[in-house]
Amino acid sequence: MSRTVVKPFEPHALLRPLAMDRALRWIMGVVLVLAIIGGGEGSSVPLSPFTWNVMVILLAVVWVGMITTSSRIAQQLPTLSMLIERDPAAAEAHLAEMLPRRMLQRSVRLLLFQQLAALRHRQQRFAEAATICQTLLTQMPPGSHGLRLPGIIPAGQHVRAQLLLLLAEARLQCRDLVGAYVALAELHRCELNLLETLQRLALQTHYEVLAGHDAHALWRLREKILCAELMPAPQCGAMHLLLATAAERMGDVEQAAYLHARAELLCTPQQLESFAQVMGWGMEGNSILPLPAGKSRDEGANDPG
Amino acid sequence: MRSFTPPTPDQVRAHLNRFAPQPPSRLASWSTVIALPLLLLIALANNNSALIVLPMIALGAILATTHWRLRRQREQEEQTLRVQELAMQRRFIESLRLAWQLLPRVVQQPQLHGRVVATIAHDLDELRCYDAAIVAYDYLLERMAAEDPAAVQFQVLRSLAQLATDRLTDADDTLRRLRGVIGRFRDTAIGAAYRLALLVQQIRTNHYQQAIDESDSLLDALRPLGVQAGYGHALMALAYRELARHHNQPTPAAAREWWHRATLLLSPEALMSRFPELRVMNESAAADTSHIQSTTASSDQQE
Repeated sequence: MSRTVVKPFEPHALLRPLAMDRALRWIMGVVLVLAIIGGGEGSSVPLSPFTWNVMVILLAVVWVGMITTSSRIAQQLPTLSMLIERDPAAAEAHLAEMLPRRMLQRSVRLLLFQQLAALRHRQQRFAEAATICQTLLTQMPPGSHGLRLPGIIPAGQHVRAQLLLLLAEARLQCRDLVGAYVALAELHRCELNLLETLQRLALQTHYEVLAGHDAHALWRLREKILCAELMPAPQCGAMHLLLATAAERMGDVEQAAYLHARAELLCTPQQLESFAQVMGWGMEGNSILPLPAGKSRDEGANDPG
Repeated sequence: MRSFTPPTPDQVRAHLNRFAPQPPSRLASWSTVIALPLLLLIALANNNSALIVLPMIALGAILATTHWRLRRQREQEEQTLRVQELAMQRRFIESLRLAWQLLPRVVQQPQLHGRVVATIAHDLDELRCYDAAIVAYDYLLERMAAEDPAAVQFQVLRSLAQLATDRLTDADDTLRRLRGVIGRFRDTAIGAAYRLALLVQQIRTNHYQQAIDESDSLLDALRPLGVQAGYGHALMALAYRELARHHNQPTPAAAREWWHRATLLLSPEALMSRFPELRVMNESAAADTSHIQSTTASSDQQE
């Protein structure tokens, strides 16, 4: 019977298969070199044409097998992303089936674990999502532009950025402001597309408001509002709410009222309330207010300053 | 700066037909896969040492071809994303220009081709070239299953373009056909766009009372449109104003309230640019503001 649940993530669950994939690549390389050396006319250990061809065929079979499996899994990744949004349980069952596969391209294996991080994020298992992202990021040093994918995955070069976005959000949800700050700082060194830039802006504003850097949150407000307008309505409303809170705390009542009125048009009362809960704020009448200092929002929060 | 002349509907039709999607031939796709075993067989059948290198060369050729093909595909995907990003940033002329040039290069990738044509349609729609946009929407819809969510979205957008060009019967047909399926898209941007299209239809056909009767759910229904919901709020303000005017009554407070909501989300210029009939609403709001200011000033003087 196939497994339907992925075990809680431990770093070795990723590092071990990666090491095995690497070992397999080395073995293939050595066999290839032996075949080339042995195939030469003046070789000290000349291989018969038959042996040589068998070696080449074996190599080709292993190589084609790996490429085929990897391509098949890579083609399923967009569907998996959609499943993570719509049916996390089904997505987990798919991942439980795919992750233990042997002989995968390194890039595809890393992308599978990235999907696992997205799933855990969707399931609000933020600490585990953060651990997965952190482990994956150690396999993609800065400057490597994430993964070198020979075109199987179109957005290969943005994988690192997407992991950092996931990590920053997971850290914010865990109220780990230091971790979120590091991820955001790293994101500023990445090349981002428009959607990723918008996500970074939302996360950074979230971080600044949580950390109490209200002046930073309101810096270049007009541009931030224009960018927020490109986001889907609930995110746009949440962004307005964050900015309204910062404006209110900075004493700019008029701006706060304007932003708050827009937030109420963009989000349903339920969305506003759930966002307030995520932020650890209390609802008072129609207004969402931060809890007094010393309440749960600040507990355990480390501000890097 | 280069001047821009929007394409005519005929030009759009000709361009789309000339560069219709052509999936790569199966023979071309499989040729590399067939070549390798064939060459291996030749090499195995002959003990000639010169033929031994053939499989190796074939393997190298396959790798090089695959690498080149995938790289080209990735570049085209990046360019398609760039076209979409420009449209998101409301740089419609640049987006349209780039999409127009990109289309011939993506004919062998149906998915990218669809995205590029959808962006062309969207750009033309936003540039108020409604007739040309309708041609592009029709082209997309001819190639999609009717129940596809994207097809529903394009039908709604096409109905809005038809309403903008006073093709009221065509728009009515489309909206009626969608009535059965739109329930699936409640609380989504597609459902919200459909609700906006209904409202535009009610305004264009002077069914102000009907629009007002259904106004209770409007705020929630339009919400998924984000700031674009402002168009709906402004049209609702117009409905209240026009109905009052028909009964020779002053503009009611509800009209001012809806207009206020609309201008919280969008500037009056943006509202009037998309719906020129909103000019009267803007003038009425400006008159109200100046009246309030003069009343306040005179009461200050009296004090």
